[in-house]
Amino acid sequence: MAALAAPAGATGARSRGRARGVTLAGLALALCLGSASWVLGVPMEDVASEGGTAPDPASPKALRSLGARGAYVVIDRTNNRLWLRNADGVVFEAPVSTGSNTVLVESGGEGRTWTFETPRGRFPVLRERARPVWVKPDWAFLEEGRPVPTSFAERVEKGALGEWALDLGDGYMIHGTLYERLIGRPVTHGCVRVGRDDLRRLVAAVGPGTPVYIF
Amino acid sequence: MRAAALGAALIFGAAAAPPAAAQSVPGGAASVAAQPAPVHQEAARTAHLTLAGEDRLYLVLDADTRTLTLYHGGAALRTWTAGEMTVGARRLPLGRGAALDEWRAPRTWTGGEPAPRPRMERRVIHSATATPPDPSGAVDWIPPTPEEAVPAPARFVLRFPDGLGLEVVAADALRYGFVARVGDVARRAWGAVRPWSWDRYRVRLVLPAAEAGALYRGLPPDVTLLTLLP
Repeated sequence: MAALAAPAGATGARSRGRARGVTLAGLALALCLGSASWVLGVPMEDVASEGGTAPDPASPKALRSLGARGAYVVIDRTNNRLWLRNADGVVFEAPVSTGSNTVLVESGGEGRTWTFETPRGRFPVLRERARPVWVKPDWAFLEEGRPVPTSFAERVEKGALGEWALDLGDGYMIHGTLYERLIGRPVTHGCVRVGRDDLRRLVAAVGPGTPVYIF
Repeated sequence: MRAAALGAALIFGAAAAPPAAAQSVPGGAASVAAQPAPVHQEAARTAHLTLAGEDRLYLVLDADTRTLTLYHGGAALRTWTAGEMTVGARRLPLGRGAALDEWRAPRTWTGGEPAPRPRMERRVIHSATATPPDPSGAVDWIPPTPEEAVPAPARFVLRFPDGLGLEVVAADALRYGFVARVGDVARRAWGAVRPWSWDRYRVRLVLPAAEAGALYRGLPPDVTLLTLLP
């Protein structure tokens, strides 16, 4: 019985081996075909020679009714760039500093946590402030290892925000800086710092209600 | 055997690859439609207005101008212009087929994720160990530039669950010469046979390196893309 079983087993193994070989060959062929089809792709015909099917994007007029009218500000918070734009395109571009993405953890006390991040979204300029004064929040003291003061006067700091501040709400602003050498790097607590000359140009072109898009 | 199959696939793919220009999308004023297709135009307008009516970021890929534009609420935020643009659809699919008409109609893709994903590291400060700034103005830590903080790869793919892969290549990464070309075709063939990259449609954009990097770093999460193809 064992002597009979041995050749039968060997035949089965050979058969299974052939089947496996066929399967692998089929798989290889399928891979070749798949690869070839993908590499070949579908050549896209010349639009003009085909008679043209290029779709128009939404009409500028219709989009304008939804989007910004007049000047608007765009801030790329990851690449630290600012653009003043209008319907015709870019008016000017400037390097800026945005949120550092640093997390501050209060040791002891209430154990509060702050993430210094510039938020994404659309924010209208709420107001313009000349020679703004910074009222330092708690985190400004905690990040320097200092105790939070109890008097308001100790929180007030002049000059830190530069010549102008454009208030975007929730404590976020576009403002100037004393540290122009750090412009272009993510160093802020969420505000957007602009160099003095660029800030003057920006303030001259925008006002309350101007939309600011941050992405 | 598996290695042999892969080799065959690569060799076959390399041999079968046509010049890239054959798949390139023409751009510029010369390619503007002579006879507009009202159905596609209307669909494009409707799709764009739908996205513009929502409070979110979205991208529009316009093959006619070879541009990728980031919008929010109908306002154009930033435009990237490709030096080269190539589009393709799987013709002999191993998986689901790809219909050319479907590809050409304006279409909104959602849930796009870049691969590789940008790495963003957060610095954590504990107030107990924080120190006051140096009165002289010297700083002990200068944060990295965006390019240093989030280095961009020479190539990345923005992949959408519905089967679109938008490959962005930094122009500096393009290599020329026969060996480089064979290597590039082999790499693309390997990308085609990998089960995890069986995109039904692909767009390849070649951008200046700085622009490609800026796009990679600036992509919003969960990208929405409207494709307007010729």
